[in-house]
Amino acid sequence: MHESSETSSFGDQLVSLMPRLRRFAIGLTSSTHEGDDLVQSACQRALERTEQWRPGTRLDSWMYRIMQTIWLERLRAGAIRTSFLREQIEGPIVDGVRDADARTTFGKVRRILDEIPDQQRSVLLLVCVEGLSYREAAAVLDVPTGTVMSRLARARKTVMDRLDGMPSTAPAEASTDKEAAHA
Amino acid sequence: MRKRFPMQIPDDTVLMAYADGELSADVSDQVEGWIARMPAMQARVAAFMHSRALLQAALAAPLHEPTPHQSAALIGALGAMIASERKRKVVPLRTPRGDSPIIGYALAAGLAAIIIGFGSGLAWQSSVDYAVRMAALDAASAAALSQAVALTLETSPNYRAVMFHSASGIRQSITPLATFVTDDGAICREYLLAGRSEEIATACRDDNGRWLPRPVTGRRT
Repeated sequence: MHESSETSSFGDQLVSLMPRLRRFAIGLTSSTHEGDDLVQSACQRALERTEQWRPGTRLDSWMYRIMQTIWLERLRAGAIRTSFLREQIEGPIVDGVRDADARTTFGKVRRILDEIPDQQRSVLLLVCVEGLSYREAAAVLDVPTGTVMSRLARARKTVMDRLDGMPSTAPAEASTDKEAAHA
Repeated sequence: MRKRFPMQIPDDTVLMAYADGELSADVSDQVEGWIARMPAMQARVAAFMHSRALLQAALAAPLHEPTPHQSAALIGALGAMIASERKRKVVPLRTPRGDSPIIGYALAAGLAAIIIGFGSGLAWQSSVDYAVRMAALDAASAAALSQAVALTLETSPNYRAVMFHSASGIRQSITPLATFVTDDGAICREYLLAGRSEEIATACRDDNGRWLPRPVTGRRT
């Protein structure tokens, strides 16, 4: 807003990362609303602790770590609604969209992702979606690389197995799934 | 293909690491040797690649959406707040235990303040104008309190209370409750003022960094 200090250039970097931070947060929380809230809390925490970030290291990894930490804190505090309740609350507004979405492959993937245990979901998002290496993901989550690999393999097996088990609507998807255009 | 495969038959995890490009060239070569001999492994590798591509595509939507205006505005504003606070030589200190920071700073004479962790879960109902509260305090304390409020709003995240007491024995805590951007771009914070009674007030930051009490009809971010 005002002068160009270290902090505001830090803020600029943060703003440019925003789409990816939102993607991770929305994947983590399975909710756009919760995801945006998580991003905002993480940005606030990051700005309070800019001195803890070492320039030259990846800012995105640091932010993923902060989001993961806040998310775990919220889960532990029991502040997070279950996905069932979330659907009760957020569902009715977008019922039609939700129904249509659930029939697409991508909709199914999101639904399966929602059911994957939290620890596995974090790894899955960091590696497969955000493109971090195993080692980078291990650093973000503060676990050994071997743990990243075993969680990742389990989570991907779940995704593929459940997807195979679901009734296919491939023909409809090819013509109606808007996201196919992005992919 | 190769004359020997010192490596055991690659398991699922190794095939996944191969699909993700995580293996060294040497190990990749060995895995490729196995894949050439065992087509089932080729299918596993393809499945891992497919799952990755599918997840990326399924979660791509946020990349194509505009960043919510208020998040970007808030970052700019928070950054500016912190920068201006540093200029005033506020020294953040770490507490010896736990995670709650203590921010030490010099305030008007007779006023001592520390920031302590307060936890969330505050409940409130009434909204009383900040200025009304000010009138109830003696002039010196009022000035000190408004300084403390400004400092709290500049530095303390939501739900972290600033405790302070004045020379005349008034004890107050100030706890930011929410931070939001009004439609005209002003950064405002709602906060709890708790002493003998509890009140909620709202203040907005002007271009000079002053926090002015203001009734607000803005969107909460």
